[in-house]
Amino acid sequence: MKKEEVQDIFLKILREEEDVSAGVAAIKTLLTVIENYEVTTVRELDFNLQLAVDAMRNCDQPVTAISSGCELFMRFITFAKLDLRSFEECEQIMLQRGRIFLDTLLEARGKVAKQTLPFISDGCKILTHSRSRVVLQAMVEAARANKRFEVFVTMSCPDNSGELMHKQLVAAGIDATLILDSAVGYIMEQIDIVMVGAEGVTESGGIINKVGTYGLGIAALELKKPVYVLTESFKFSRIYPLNQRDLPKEFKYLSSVLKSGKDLAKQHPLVDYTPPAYITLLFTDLGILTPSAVSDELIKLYL
Amino acid sequence: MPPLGSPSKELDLKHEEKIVQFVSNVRNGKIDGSNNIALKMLLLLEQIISECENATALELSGLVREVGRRVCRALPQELVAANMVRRVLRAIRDEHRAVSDQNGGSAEGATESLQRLVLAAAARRGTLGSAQQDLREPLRDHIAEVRAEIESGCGAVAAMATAHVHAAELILTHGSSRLVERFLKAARKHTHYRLLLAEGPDVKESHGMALRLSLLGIPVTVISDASIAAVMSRVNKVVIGVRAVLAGGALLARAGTHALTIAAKHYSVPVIALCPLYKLSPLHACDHYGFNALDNPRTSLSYEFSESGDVHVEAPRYDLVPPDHVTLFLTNLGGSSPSYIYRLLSELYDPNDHQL
Amino acid sequence: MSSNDEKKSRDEVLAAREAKKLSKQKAKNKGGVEVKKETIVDTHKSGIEKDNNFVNKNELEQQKVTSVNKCDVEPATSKGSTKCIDEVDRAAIKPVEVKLDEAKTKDEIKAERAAKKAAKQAKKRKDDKGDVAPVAAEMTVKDVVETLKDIANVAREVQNVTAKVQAISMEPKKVQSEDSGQSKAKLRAERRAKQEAQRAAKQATVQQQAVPTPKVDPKSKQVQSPESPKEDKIPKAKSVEKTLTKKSQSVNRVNWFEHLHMQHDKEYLTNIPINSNLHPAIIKLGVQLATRVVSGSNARCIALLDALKKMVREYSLPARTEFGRGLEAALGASLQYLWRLRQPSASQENAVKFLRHHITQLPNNVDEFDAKKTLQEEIDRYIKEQIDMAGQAISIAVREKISDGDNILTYGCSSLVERILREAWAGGVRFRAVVVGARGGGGGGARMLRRLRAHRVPCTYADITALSYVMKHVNKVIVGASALLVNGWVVAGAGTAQAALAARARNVPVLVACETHKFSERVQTDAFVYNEIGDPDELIDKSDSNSPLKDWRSNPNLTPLNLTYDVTPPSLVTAVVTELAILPCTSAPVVLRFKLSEYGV
Repeated sequence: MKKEEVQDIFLKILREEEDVSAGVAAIKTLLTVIENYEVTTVRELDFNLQLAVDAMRNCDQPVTAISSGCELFMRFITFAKLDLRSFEECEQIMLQRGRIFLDTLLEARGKVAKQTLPFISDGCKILTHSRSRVVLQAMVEAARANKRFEVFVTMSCPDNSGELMHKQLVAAGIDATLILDSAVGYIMEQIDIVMVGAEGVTESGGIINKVGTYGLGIAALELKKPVYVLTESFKFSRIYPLNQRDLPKEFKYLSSVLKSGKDLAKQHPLVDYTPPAYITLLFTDLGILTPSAVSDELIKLYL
Repeated sequence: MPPLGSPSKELDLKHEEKIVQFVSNVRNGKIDGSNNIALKMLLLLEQIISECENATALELSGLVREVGRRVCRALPQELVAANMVRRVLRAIRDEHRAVSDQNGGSAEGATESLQRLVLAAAARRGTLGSAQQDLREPLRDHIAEVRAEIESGCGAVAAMATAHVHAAELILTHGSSRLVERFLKAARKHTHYRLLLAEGPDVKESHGMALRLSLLGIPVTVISDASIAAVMSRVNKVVIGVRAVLAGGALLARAGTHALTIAAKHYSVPVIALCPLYKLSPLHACDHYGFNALDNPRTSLSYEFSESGDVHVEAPRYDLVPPDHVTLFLTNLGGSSPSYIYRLLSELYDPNDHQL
Repeated sequence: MSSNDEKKSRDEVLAAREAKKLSKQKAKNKGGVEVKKETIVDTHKSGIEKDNNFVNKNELEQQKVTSVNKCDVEPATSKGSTKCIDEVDRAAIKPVEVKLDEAKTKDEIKAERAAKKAAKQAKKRKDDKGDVAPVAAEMTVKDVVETLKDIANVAREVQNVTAKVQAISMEPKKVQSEDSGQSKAKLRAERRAKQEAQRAAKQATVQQQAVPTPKVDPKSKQVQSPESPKEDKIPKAKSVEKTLTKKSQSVNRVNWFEHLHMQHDKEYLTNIPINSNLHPAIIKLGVQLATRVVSGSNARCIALLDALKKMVREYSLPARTEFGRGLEAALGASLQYLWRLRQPSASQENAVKFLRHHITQLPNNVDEFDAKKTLQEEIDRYIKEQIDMAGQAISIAVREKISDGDNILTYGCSSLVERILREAWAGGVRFRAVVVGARGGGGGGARMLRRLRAHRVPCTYADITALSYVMKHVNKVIVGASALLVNGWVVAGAGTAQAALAARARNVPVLVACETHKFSERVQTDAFVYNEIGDPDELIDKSDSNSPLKDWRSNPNLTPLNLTYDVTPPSLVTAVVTELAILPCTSAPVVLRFKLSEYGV
């Protein structure tokens, strides 16, 4: 199995299915790897999967979601290994569970959107940052439920993904306004709630998301606006950053940049870390959690 | 059975009568105080359950849920009644699970969790259809347990007073609350302290409470709500009673409490909220107006005032206090921080029952 | 001995003068009492040795005793007067039960000093008419003896009258709001009667009566503070202060507020010592302030200036005194009386400073009429500029901050905020006023509501417990202030800090409207160091006859507390609107410096 093949599969999935997030695509890739590449021992399988994960991390896609999704999948696989009969049976069980896992994950967004519904009241103004599919789905469902609200989307340089979000919102019939990243402080006093997605949820209960989320959180706390984070549960990861610099480098910079050996201090980071003090509630498919409950969940899983 | 999708059931006539009786008693004030409401609700549910013909888990839970829905629609502010319904539903589920375990069914976790996500057992949605046993007896035991817990809850909370009040402290409390009165009485037996009582909206009840406490030898100073911010710098602790505790650690309390906690936060005075477990409600505070009701405007501006005719007078009954304003919750099980409330909630209620 | 001799001659001279005066006025029969008083005082005082400087109490007492008992070492006139003293002493002592020697002695000292100084002056003036003395002295003694006997009788009668008057005032207390007019008049009548009694008592020489006791003693007489403007008032004031605090403590059991000024109840009001030299307008103002009939910092300031204007206008300058000094002293006496009844507000303090400054600015030998005219004009100008025009300027400044469709929240009652809202509404801005008040004394919200409705401003009313509920829809908060302190803290009615906190919690801007004449030099950081305690009975629900608190006085553990003021830190206030500019709260010291330079302080 070659790295490039894995990367091809991964990128193909991402290209074809617009709606799928990087984490889910990664898990799908891993499932494909199990299905297609013939191995005879568990060890070989492990090795393959490791290679696959490594490959995906190096293809210039946001690494945060990929890494947490894959980690969860690997853990999942570990459990399956306990029933040791024959390798083929083991593999079959793994595949089956893998598909269930994937199905559950695909439903996650719907659950999150449903939970968000009561929090969007008529006439409220929502501020969101960059592009998040979960937030988009939540808003579309709210609009379908005949709620009237206004959305402000930040442009979020450098890739201007906010513009795509804005286009999608308008297409769904929602009153959306595109604002500059720097206008966040200005607009904050008119806002009722802040809703953002997350690329990763850390053990401390904070989130890792597109750069600019931290500034948004600070402004919201100062002006006493609630910050709601919409995320699926597979994004929970075990890292515990102490501050911005403590974030792993692979998260912050593209792999190509890391490989090219440029001076990282002069590079723009892709993500930042928002500590749990700035987050009011996390809406996940496991329920509505306070930031302190995240750690509880992770402990239950890993310990 | 997924709660949101089920059609509303037809209830027996005598059940309906009982419900109507209960609701009107609460509305007329014959049943007063959340403690009494909780106990009466349990009694109502017990009666209905014992009169139910088909006592399978499915039937029972459907019945209880329907009763709960009727009561909640009639009394949207009485969150305690809804809590009791959820407790009974949880009891039914537990019983059912225990029975199906005995019969060799697979263990199902009550709550969603990452662990369960990963372990991915078969059907995660709790089905209550399998067992056909008569659950009334064990259910009655459960309900008796809950009743005992409610009755002893207040005592347990009051008993914690000795740990939280030390000598020569100045304690500030707001309005009248039976539980706070008990708490302060218990503290008095243990140590000498001084009490500041802010009148709050129920002036007569607060004055009565001040009188009763002063007769026990506690130096009580009664102040108007306007002086709260002025005296707050001298206060050592704030102790308040609550109407209900919402998910995330937010509080529903009498009008004026939010202003009190804002002042306490400004002066960094710890706020202790007394809440026995039956007051914990899994609902979120997203809809402030849903929980609030307007009181008689006469309490703010008397009718004798000539302007009261053409002036709009607002007199809300309750206030919503966000979780970061409360330092400590004292429940039957001990103290907990607001961020831990979700844990207590997950132990008390099933997530499928959050919306009745 | 030598001093006695000196005194002898002086006495003779004095006596001659006085006798002359006496005979003249006796003939005219006009103000006889006054003159007699002076006479008696002079003759008495001169009989006692003393220094000009601070006198030892004990010494004096001894001397008095010697003079009373031994009746020796006295000149002829003095002997007579000593005998007279004896008689009068005995005569006056009978009806009185309480005697405090200390006080008597102190009063004696003061009277002595006054007399001595007057005597000196008299001597300077009429040094050449000594020969008439002996004859006049003879006449004087006889006359004096007779008049003294008369006076003793009068004194006794007045004593009875006073007792009766006080018995009337011992009726059960009524609600002050209902009876304010009545009680004022009654109090004034009582005061008049007492003044008469006091004058009589003073003539009967120095048998002054007890300092007001905490419990009303029907037989106790009023203390007259025998003040001539140049007296040293310290010992007297101290004794009064002591009893004041004692009374406050016995009623106020909240021990952290011991140092605070307590609103006096009716009983105390009937026992206040008053100076007969006080202008009736001042006395009336004092009662109005104490019973809170006049309240609100602008109203109190204007009322004070009004009363002072009247006092200035009717001030009669004693001979050979410079106008400025004389007026200053009279002013001091009046203010001491007023401040005893209610602590001054910052606006009142500044007004007084202003007036004092202008008094000192008067040229040295100014004509009395001119001086009075100038002062009255200054006072009028102060009121017009600092209060009226300042209010206008502030109103215009704030109007720009109010837009159509706004919800403006205001707390408590402030004449300035009422003016702002009224003029904004009249000017066409369509907003809604949300008035928040509190039950009990501290609120004033109900009064504000009434005033606004009278001008057809649309209002919503809420109690202070509903503050966080209504704050959701409020755009701006505008409140008035009682004072603005040098460190930027705002002193306003109790509950304003609460409103500011609730507003900050929702990011609602808070505007404080405050004219510059309310800027004070004080600093405080909490509401305890300097505050007033209002009537505790206001906390009790009046409509409820079975209120659990109605017997709080008999319960040692129960105290209602009614604070009048509280302080708001500058971090909670967005802006202070003054007539000079819209300022941040922290710029108060700059303005204060600017203002003080105006007064030349």
